[in-house]
Amino acid sequence: MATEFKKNHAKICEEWRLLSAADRAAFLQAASPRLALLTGNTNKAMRLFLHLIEQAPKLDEVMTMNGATGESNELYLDARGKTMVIGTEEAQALPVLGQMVAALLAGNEVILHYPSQPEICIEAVDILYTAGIKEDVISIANDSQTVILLHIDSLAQVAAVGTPADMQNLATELAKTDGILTQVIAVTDVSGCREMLAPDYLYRFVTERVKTVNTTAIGGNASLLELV
Amino acid sequence: MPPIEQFTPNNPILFSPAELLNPAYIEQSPATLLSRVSPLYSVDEDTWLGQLLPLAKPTEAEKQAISEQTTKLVTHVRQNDKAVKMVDSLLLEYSLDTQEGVLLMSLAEALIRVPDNATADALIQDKMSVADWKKHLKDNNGFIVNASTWGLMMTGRVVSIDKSTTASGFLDRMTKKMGEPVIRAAMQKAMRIMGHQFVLGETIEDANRNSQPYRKKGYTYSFDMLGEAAITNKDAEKYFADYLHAIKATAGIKVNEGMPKPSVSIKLSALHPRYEATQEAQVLGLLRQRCLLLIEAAREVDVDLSIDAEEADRLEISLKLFESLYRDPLTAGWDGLGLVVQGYSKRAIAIFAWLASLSREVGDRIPLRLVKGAYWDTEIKLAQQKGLSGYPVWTRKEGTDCAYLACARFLLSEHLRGLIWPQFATHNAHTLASVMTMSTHRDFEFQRLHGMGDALYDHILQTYQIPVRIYAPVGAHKDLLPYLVRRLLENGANSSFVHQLLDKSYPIEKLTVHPYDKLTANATLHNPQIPLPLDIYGARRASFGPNIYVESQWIPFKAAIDSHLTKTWSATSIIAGVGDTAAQNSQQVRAPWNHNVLVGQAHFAEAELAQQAVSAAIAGQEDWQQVSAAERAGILRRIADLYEENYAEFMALCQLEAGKTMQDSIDEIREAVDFCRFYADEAERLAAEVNTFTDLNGKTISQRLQARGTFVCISPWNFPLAIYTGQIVAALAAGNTVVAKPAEQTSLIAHFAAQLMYQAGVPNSALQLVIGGGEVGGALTSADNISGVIFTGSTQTAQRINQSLNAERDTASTSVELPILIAETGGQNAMIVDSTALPEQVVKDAVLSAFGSAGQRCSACRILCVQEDIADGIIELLQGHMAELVVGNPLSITTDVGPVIDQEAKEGLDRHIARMEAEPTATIIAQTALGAEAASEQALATYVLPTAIEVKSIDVIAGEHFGPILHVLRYKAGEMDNLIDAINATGFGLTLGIHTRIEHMAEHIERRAMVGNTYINRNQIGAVVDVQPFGGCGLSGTGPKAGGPHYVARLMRWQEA
Repeated sequence: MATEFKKNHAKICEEWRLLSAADRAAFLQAASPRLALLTGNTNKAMRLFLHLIEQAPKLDEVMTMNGATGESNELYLDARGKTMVIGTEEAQALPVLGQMVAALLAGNEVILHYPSQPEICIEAVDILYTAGIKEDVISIANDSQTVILLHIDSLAQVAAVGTPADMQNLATELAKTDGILTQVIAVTDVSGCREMLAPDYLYRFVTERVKTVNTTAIGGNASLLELV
Repeated sequence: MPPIEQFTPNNPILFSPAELLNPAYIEQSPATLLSRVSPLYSVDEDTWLGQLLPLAKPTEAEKQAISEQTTKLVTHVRQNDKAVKMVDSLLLEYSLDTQEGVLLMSLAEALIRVPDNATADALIQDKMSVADWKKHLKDNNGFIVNASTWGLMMTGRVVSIDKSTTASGFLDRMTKKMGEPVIRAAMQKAMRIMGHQFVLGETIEDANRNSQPYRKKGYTYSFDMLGEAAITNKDAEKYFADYLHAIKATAGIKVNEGMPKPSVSIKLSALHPRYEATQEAQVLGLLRQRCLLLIEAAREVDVDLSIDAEEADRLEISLKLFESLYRDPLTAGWDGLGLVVQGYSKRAIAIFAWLASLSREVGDRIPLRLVKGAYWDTEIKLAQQKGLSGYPVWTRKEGTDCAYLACARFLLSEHLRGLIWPQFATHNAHTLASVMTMSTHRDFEFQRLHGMGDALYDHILQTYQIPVRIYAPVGAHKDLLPYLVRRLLENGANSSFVHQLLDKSYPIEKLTVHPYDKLTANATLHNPQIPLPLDIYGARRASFGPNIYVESQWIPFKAAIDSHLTKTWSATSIIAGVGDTAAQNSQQVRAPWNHNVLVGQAHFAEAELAQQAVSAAIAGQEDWQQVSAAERAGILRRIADLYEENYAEFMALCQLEAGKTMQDSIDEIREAVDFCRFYADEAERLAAEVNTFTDLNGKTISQRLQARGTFVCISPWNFPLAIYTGQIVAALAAGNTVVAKPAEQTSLIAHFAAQLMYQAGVPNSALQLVIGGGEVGGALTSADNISGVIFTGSTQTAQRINQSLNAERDTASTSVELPILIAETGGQNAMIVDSTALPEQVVKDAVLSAFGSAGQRCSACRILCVQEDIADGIIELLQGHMAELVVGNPLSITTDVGPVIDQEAKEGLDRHIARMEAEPTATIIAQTALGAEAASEQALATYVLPTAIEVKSIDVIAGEHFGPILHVLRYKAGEMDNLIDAINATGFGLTLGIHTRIEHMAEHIERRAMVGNTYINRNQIGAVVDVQPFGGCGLSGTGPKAGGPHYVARLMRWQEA
């Protein structure tokens, strides 16, 4: 039963990952106004959320690499996987929800851990469910201690908001975990969210993938023959 | 000196083609003339073709006569209602420049070998559902007009066809039935019909019967059992037996009186699995013996033999073999041993001159078939991939046509009569007319392919009485059709003439233009749309690779390497430009393939030196950041140039210290050079980037990228130059200073490379080199104030570095940002193979992916997952192919697999093999023996035998085993998703290979499998900088990808301008 549940959960998360960022952006766009209301600064929040959502095409971009003839090489971006969004004690809702939106936009499964603001968490995920995002994709984990949650299996990244010291502590704890090297995406500019406005911010939530196809496997190289 | 100048001939043209028309030219010794062949391998196209052109250029009278004759031939063919048949008709309806044409061919290439219904259905659906088949069906015809061309007629039984059936209605109904057994049966039958069109007969006896009507018309024949090249000795023996049988059977095949006797064409790659220039002893040993046996049999029954031409890299060894056979007493007095030469080869005319001289000396006439060549696009691709100095072939079709005519004029020269028997293979009416016009005699024949050019050549036979030979494939459709279809597709350019010839709407005037006029009407003789291999990246020059299969490059290259083999090197840490000669811990470095060979001394640093190195690097930060991006880029480009200038010494170091084979060493150097040039470009690109945005308070902010500070670069021994260099130059390109800690096993290479970096202009303060083991690395990664670590190595070490980097640091020093760890770690890489894949291609790719570099690549294939329906066959091929691997001393050009890096690595791998032997769910299915020479030095070396182990599940493998061990897993056709889940469940995600002809399936697997680099229908190693940016996810690393557009940027931070 548990295995079946796990399989189903993985399948739903995979479906989210395999959507285009533009499709995911549509869900998040629908949720943004209500999410913004949770932050206490609607204007700022909308500006941040829209800034992120507008970058969806960047995530969908497929870069054609220039190489030897008879082969196609494409570089594209894909979700990293399980992401924990952590709001530390002093973290404001705006950057925490911003990190959540970014993680979702990139196609990740998100676990929201913001124990100092449990109501915001409940409302936020409720807004996202209402917008059509499935329960398996976004969930809350406020009942456990942060340090325990960091040991969750296959945690790909932690998107955290807090002081530099908080971030250092998190990184130190995470380094003690087994398995994959969990990435820390730290936002320490809790009011200006400057890190989140950098052009490469969303890239932290994704992994790059390259697809190489030997286009001459069945013989022939049409693109080359056209040049003769 | 740049490597092209060092390793390619400075003066490749050693004769003028005009001299060939003088009979005295071929009076020179064959050895002299042979020495003029290889230098032309990649000669400058404009220069050499310019010299050949006078031979191709027609006189005005010739031009007029050729034009008139071409017109006559074309008109005659077009007036003949029966002209369009067999392969011609396919090409006419399904032209290879249409999607449908290619899809139909790809279906033909694969369907016939698919044993299971589910996969066959999926393949049919994949190909039939994406193209616009309707446009090939003509509604004005109540019946399915094109059914006769590709055998869909029998589908009339599937979806009812009557006189009122419309084309679109037919297809709609057929589409609905897709996946049903009747459609599969129909398509399989269609492919068999297609097989009949390409293949004369499945046995030589069938061929005898089927060729009779043509022989009655006057045709003679050359039969060939062509198919895939043999990759196992068993295959080669089978082909040998087939050839032998064909020779004997051909003796009974009669042709009209006066026609040249039938012959058998042999493909040398079918007779020996290692028919390669680097395996000369095997070629001139067993392969030669097999050829002699065939010659003996052929002579006995009076059948000619012709040796086919194959890839350019095999050309020179084929000439050596031919000469050896031709001079053998067994051949003396026989004029039946022929050779095929490709007109697209830049070396062609020099080969003909040599052959004429050889014939003159020995006295036996040589039948010589001049073809245009069927591997053109493969040659272009390979030259680009290998970074060669140029192409071995012409880059314009009319260039090939002109070279062909230049060769033809020479072959038709009066002084060659009696020395050679020219055989002109072509389907081009203009070429036919040219040959007939240029010739003053009729001592030659034409050749055409079975199924093509019937009308044209019927006319030639009847009207001109010139002998015509049909080159006819004979053998099982399953073996031949895939090969023939691939050749046809590769040769698509040549099929275009057939298309134009038969297409009545195509103006005849266009078909009569002489290629000389076409060629010289261009601004250049070479094709500017096909850049030279080193120019394929535009402004960024690709790294150069010498071609070790070509004597004129190999000999100087090898001599240069040899001059360094007796040297010893010394490595010390270098702090602030000063070598740490006082280091107490001095280690002798010995070659992993023979511990008696002393390579040098490495002086390992103490942990205290690590802190000095970090301090020196941090002290150098400000100065280095002040250096402009353009200047930094210039320095990186100079490093690349210096690396290439020191190619030979790096080769020697890679072989001696790291145990790398010849080609692996070349690839290593090339990757390092590419890193330098690519990251140089990145430094300049990123320096120009400005990020302007409005912050959340409405303020406009402008930012630029700045260096982060100091990085510690920890590199592995498996890519001791490439990854070591890539890490360092990326960090330097970004403006960071670097403390480099190379793997202790390969300190000498690292030290030599660092010296070149300083020589190129890297300041002493910007790069610190620390030589030593893990404890020194630990001291570096725990140092305060470093901005991050770039690491490549094991997952476990990466975890330790992460802890070290994030623990025990002075929190105050990290108040701005967390340190960065870019880690590229291991993989449990799979290759998934379904039943549509071509088994020979799968096995070659799997063996290279698993055992190349002795399996010591992060990207190496560890698990070959094969659909159970074809698993037995694949395993048999794998066993046979592995048996052909040469395991031994990497200094030898013949070696495929060298040693593993050290005793510790060997013991770990041997332990795994022993554990698998004892494991009930695992079976050792193949293990390659050590070469004889290496076996005698085994106790002094660290060889691990390439081993294949069949396992019942992935779990039993238990982690990554970094060496020449391949696991094989069977899976059921319907369980692909479970397989992908199992691969994902390993947690690793580095590379994945997929072999399937079903595009939808490839797409599905690629999207579901969580890996960094996926390779479809090829091997899964050898990622190229900025072409296949490399790196994985999960347990395989953090990203960003090395050699990709996000790498250098990650080593920088945005700061307000």
